[in-house]
Amino acid sequence: MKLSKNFDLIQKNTSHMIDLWMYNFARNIPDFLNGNNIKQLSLFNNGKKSIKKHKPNNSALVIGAGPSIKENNHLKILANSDYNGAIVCTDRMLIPCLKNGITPEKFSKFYVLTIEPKDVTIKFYDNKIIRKYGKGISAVLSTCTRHETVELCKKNGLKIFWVHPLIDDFRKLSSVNRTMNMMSKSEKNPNGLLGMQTGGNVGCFGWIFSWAILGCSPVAVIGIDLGHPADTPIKNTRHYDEYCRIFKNDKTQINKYFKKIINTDLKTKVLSDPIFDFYREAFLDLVTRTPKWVRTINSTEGGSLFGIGIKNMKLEDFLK
Amino acid sequence: MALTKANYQLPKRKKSNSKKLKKKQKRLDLENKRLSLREAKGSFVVFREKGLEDIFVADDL
Repeated sequence: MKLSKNFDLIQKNTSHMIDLWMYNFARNIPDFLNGNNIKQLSLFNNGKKSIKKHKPNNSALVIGAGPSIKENNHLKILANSDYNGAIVCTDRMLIPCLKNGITPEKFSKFYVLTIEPKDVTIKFYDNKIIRKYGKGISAVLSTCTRHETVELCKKNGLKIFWVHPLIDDFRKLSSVNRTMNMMSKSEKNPNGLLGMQTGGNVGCFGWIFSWAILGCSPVAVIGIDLGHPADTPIKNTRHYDEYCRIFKNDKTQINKYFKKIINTDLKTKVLSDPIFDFYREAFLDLVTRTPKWVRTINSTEGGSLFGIGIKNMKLEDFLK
Repeated sequence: MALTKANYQLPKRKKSNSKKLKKKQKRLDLENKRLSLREAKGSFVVFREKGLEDIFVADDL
């Protein structure tokens, strides 16, 4: 991947989370030692199928939480469709999806994913409606997920599958990932758990999960804006608090990090910041590294994700 | 207008003389040094280490 000018900023601020990752990991040990490996969901399990020569016969739809979801009424459109591919829901969107009729009863292949280590994820699983539909939902959780979130998933009857987020060079003896996996070996999972690239955000992880584990193609994404509508006040943007922390509330400094870019596929303006821009670069880079059979469709109808290997399409057209 | 790689000219952070900030910075540097010693400074977001660029799923870490 080309060196991003934002890389150091993101890297430095992400690496601060290692304490939190390890804190959560330690508290989840009893659960994942006896838990299900994400490998159980893999179409390429045990090397019986080659990922390079795979012929997909299912599609997947990844649902992110960007503002375009509401603006484009995407949940209603999906709920009213006869889509029969896999629903890969980011954690933040689980409750809105269920409340809008996107349920495992209607869409039988229903997954929800969490890779965020912070406690914000607790509220994503804390609702009566999850209990109602929990048994039909497979939850893919990072081993570094907040433990209270894991407890809620169990309480609500979700079937949990564990995965290690890849965070360092696991070929090295001193790798944190390598140590994590050594600690996750058990009778049930003698080789430990799979490690997976995440792209740094759950939307991108959903896209990787859809083709690299479920073997789906095309994989469409909605609500993956990686940016804000151009007229959004900066203080209302997603990472504003992060920048306040980094720059100690120096608003002049913070404002310098935001810029407007043009989505040339949609001819619309988007307000971006280094975090979204980094995720966008990462996503675009990962798209070019997929096997040939993987087709990626962006049905967000907004945002900043466009480029080589990503086809823009209206959600209604994808669902046809 | 075509989008080019976002060309953020990251402004340099002003050095502060405050004792508290200096202490924080010292602590931060120490943490980074420790992470570096553990070789945990790799890509927390996306792999860019040589040979790992195409890794999406790793079995038997």
